This record gives sequence, structure tokens and C-alpha cells, in this order.
Amino acid sequence: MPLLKNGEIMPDSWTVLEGDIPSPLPQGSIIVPFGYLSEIDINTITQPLGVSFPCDQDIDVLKPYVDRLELIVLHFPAFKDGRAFSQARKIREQLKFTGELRATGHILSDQYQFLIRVGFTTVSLPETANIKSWQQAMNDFTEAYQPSVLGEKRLSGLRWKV
Amino acid sequence: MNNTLNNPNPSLAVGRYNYDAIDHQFLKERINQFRSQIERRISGELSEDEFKPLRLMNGVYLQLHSYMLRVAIPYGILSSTMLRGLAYVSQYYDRGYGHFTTRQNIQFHWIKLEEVPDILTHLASVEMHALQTSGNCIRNITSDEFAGLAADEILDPRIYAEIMRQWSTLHPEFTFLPRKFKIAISGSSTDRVAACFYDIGILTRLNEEQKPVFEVWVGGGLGRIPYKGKVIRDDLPPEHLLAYIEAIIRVYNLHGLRNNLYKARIKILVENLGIEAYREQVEKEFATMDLDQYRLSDELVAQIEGSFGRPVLENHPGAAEVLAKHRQQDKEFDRWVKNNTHPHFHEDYIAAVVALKEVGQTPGDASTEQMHALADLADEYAFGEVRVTHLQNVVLGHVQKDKLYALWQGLKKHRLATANLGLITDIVCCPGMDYCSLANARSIPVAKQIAALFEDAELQEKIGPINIGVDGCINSCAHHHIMNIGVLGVDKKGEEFYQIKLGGSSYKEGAAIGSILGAAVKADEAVKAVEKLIYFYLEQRQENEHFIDTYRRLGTAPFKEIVYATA
Repeated sequence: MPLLKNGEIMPDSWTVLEGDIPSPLPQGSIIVPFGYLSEIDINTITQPLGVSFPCDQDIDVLKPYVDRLELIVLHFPAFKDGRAFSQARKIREQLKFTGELRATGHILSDQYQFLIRVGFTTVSLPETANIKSWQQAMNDFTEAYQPSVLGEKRLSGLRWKV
Repeated sequence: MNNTLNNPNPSLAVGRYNYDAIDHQFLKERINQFRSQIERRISGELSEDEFKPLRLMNGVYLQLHSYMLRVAIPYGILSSTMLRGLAYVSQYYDRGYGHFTTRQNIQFHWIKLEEVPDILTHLASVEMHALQTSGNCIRNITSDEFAGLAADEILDPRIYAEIMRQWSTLHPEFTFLPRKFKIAISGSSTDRVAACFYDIGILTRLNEEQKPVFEVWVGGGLGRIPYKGKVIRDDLPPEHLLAYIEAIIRVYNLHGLRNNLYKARIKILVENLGIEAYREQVEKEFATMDLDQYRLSDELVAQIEGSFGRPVLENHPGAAEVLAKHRQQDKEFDRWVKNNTHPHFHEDYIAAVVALKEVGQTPGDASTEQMHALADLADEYAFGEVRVTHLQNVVLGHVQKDKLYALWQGLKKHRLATANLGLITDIVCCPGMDYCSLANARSIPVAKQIAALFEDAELQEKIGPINIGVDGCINSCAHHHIMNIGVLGVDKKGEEFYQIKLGGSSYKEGAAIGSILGAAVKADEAVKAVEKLIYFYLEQRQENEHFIDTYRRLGTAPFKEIVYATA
């Protein structure tokens, strides 16, 4: 699946592990389901580690692992289901996570700026996505009416430069 | 505490926030985005399922016969220029009228989808938009129609409504909530906004140190399962308003039910968790937030307030005497003043309520010509400011008492001087099955028939204060749950039937959800039932009891007997 960062397609070096996790683990950067973290001793993993986190769980449970994670994947089961927007924001603002935050699932390009402003850095797109629409959407708005996790420059009043 | 006399700036439209270049640029970008969304729908890149929420967030509904455009009137305030803009849309893109709603919006019911970007461009030129008038996002924020003029006001709620309007506009986190989200705010402790029946309702009071604080209600709502909200916090400093409602909505966004449309509103979550548990979660969220980032400092509030035009109210000695003389000379005018005005904190001024409820007319409708007339009269008599009420009427807020008679004569020429405010023919009514695809039954004809029964002005005054809401479906746009008499259209095997509710009351003091009287009946029987209820009340009332008092004293049973007794 194409991976979008800052409006550009980039190579995805991460391997997503689902279902039964093989032992030993494959080489390289891996994304494991959240449930797997409690089954293993995380200190035994030496390779770059990411986690795929469900949209119906409280992000506080990530707290013990967050320093060890380089990537967190959040899910949109449908584009109308906006839970991951709040999860992302909490992960950035409350857990102070600074690694890659990746959005996956059913997402529209019209949501791209929202994703960026709540703290997502990458979007995993379906093969059929119109990349041009996503690139355009990045510049849909040049200003916004609320602060975001990006610490954008305040124009005046309640307006920020995007 | 009232700041209405401060910093008058004659170049600014009165009573509302005036846009600057940044705000104009934003609307331009939004319209361009919607234009491209329509193109992507036409090209097939967006499915209908994907396009629908996007068009809804631009106020565009698909109704029974046509598209409908719902235009936001933030906190109910229009300048005469904005009203002329709406008149233009009604004339050139609709069929010569618009429909004011209980959420202080206006709807145009005969719109072509392909013309919507042009309409939005025209509206943007008068600083209006249709943003978030639908969709599962934070909707248009409503306020007190007597804001900035009521004697009991602690702070002007429109300043904070505007702050919330800006903050909620394309909020990156809250544009795909489980369900729609409605906020109302009043700047006094007297509830004129039905605060306890909103997702968030805000009232204002003075604390022990005589500082204004907000009393925040959460989890109220109408619809299929009506709930009276609960107070989540009664001492919120205004500077923390945004942080606190952000915390409330974040908890809702994460935990609100998403698998059942009818259980997705915040009211169900608050009910399921209990208010204590909900409050605990909100407080926990609030405690983690960077409050400085959200703080509404005195400077920030002053800056927003500085973009509001203020009326220059001057003393007019003798104005009250002139009004008294006019009332004495003209009985018809006297009746209108008695029913359709509200006191102003300045003794030489008065607020005039223009009822859009002439018997025979669709409640809340205004024609192109009436919109122009109201705009002209507002310019002449009310600093160019027009307020839309949540009961589908219009207010001219700051009228010099000695000029009220001339205003009334002007209104009369355009059939805008109906003297029935708060009386039985001042009926609240949704568009119903004449327009709306959600409706089960027509509401407008029923409302008109009820009004026709009580056209006589003296009879209306004898009946006294009462409110009636007629809804075409359970979504309750006409608030039938919280009206003294609520009429609800239901579908019974393809036929229109009507259920009657009694005893509802909209405002904090005595707030109540009405009780169902009995089995649903056909339209003509429902109209007759309302008639029977009223005459029974007139027989039973003690001294000057209002309908709701007599109902509360007697209970449902005798009213039920009167309606359902087989002759």
C-alpha cells in the first residue's frame, strides 16, 4: 500500500505482523498488534518496533511502552468514525510520543489536513487512491481557527497559519 | 456588567462579529474545496456514501422534491446586509421565500446542487456560510434573542458564541463525531435558550466574588429518546470555556456509541455512564490540557468583542411618554406592544418581536419581499440589526420607544405585525412531509388548522401564554417534547397519524418533557383534540392560571378523558 508523508509517496520499510506472530521474529522494522506487547518481554526485542492500536481502546494503556515505540498505527474503520483523531491528539499531547504516527483504514483526502493537525505523520493509502487529490488536499486551507499539536504560528485572535 | 455602551464603532455591523481578510480567505478556501468535492463526486472518485457527509457539512440536504440548503445564522444575528443577501438567494435560487428554523438557521428548500457553490460565494460576500449546519459535527451555536439588551444579562453571550463558532469551525478532531453536536449559550442565569435540552447548554451566573461563571449543562436532547441534561460544572471561569468543552467533546468522541444511529448522541453516553463518571473523565482530560493554549485572556476576548458593532444608545427624554400616547390612541398597536415587545436595559429603548406566525402562513417562513422590508426597517429603526429566535420569529432589538409606532406601521404594510407572540397561534412547526425526507407526516397543514381555530385576537389573549410545537417526525425540530402541547406526526401503515403530548416546558425553571396523552389520531381529530384541550382548560383554570399551570394542577387524566371520551 502506498505510504504518504508530507504529500509525497515514500517507501514503507515496516513489516506488518498480524494474527499468529512468528517466532523468531522476522528481521527489520516490525509492526505488531497491541495485544502482543503484553505477551512478550519487550526488552528482548532489539529491532525497530511499531504497534498497531485499535480505535476502541484507551490510549493510556500504551504508556508503559511508548518510550520503546518508533511507530504507532491508528485505525479508521470508516471515514465517518473519528475516534482516531482524538487518540492521535492524546498520544502526542499526553503521552508525548514523538515517533511516526500512521493512519490506516478508510480515509478521505478531505481529511488529510485534519490528520496532520492532530499529529499524524503518515497515511497508509489504498492502491486505488488518487494521489493528486491528496496532494491538493494538503493545501486546501492556509489557516485554521484552533490550535493544533503542530504549534503553528498564531495569526491573530483565534486564527492560526496552517 | 453590561458592555453594550463601550467602544461604539459605526463602521461595524451591530451585534455580530465582522469578518476581516483572514475570515474571508478561509471561506473562499472552503468554497473551493466544496467545488472540487462536487467535481470528484461527478468524476466518480467519491462514492455517494463518501460525498454525502461532505455535502451535509456544507449545509446541503437532499429532500423529497429537491436539494435544501441550510444557512447558518450564528447566534441568530443578521445585519440588514446579510438579510438582503438571504433575500437575494431566495429570489434567484429558490422560490421567493426562506424558512427560519428553531436552531436560528434559515433553509432554502428548492435548490439545485450545481448552483450551491455560486450561492455560497454570494453568501460569503455578506459574511455568511452554510458550514456545519448539518453532519456529525459541532453545529451552529445558538443564543438568547435578547442578548445585549436584556436587563438581567451578566455578559454578552454572543462574544462567547462567536469564540465557539470560530473554534468549532473545521475542528480537526471533532468533525467526525458519533452524531451531531449542538451548543446553546445564554449570558444570564435566566434560561431563554432551552439550555437543559442541548448537547451542551451554557447559562451564566455571578459567583460569590461577583465574577461571571458558566453553568454548563450536558447530555440534554430531544429526538427519539428525549433527556433533560445535567449540570456537569456550575462554576466554569469563562477563560477556560474552550478547554472545558474540548474535554467534554473529546470524551464523547472517544466513547460515544457509533453502531446505532439512535443511541449515538452524547445524551445516551451521559445517561449510560452517569453524570458523576462523565464529569470525572472530563475533569481528568481537562487536567492534562495545556490551558494556556486555550485560555480566553481578557485581551483575546476584547479583540473578538472589538470586531462586534455596538449600537450607540442615547437618551431620549420623553420617549416613553410618546409611546404611551400612541398606545392610547391606537388599540391595535397597543395589543401588539403588549404581546410583542421585550424590555430593554436602556429605559428609552424597547425590543420588538416580529412574529412570522400570521394565521394562514407557514410558521417561520419569510418571503423575499418581507426580508427586504425587515432589512429596511432594521436600518431605519434598529441599527441595521435583526435577530432570529429559536421559536421562528424575528427581533429588532434596539428600537427607540418614540419610534415604535412608526416601526409597527411599517411592519403592518408587509403583514409582519401579527400580535400573537407567546400566544396559541405562535406555533412552532418543522417543514414536515411537505419538504423533509425524514418526515412521517405533514406538519404545516396541522399547524395552520390549529392556528385558524384560534384566530380571534381576544380569544388568544383569554387563553393566555401557551406554546405548541408540531413535528412531522420524532427528530423533533419543532421541539414538541418540550412544548405545553406537542403534536407529533407518525406513520401508521402509510397513513398520517398524530400523537399528542402534554406538559412539556422548555426552560430551566420547570423544564419538563411532555407526556403522551393517548393513541395517535388522524389529522382532523388531532386538531379537534387540541381545541377540546383548550376549552377544557378555559373551563377549569383558576384565576389567571396559564395552560401549563392548570395541567400541572390537574394532571393528564382529565385532559385525556376529554379528548378520548366516546360521545
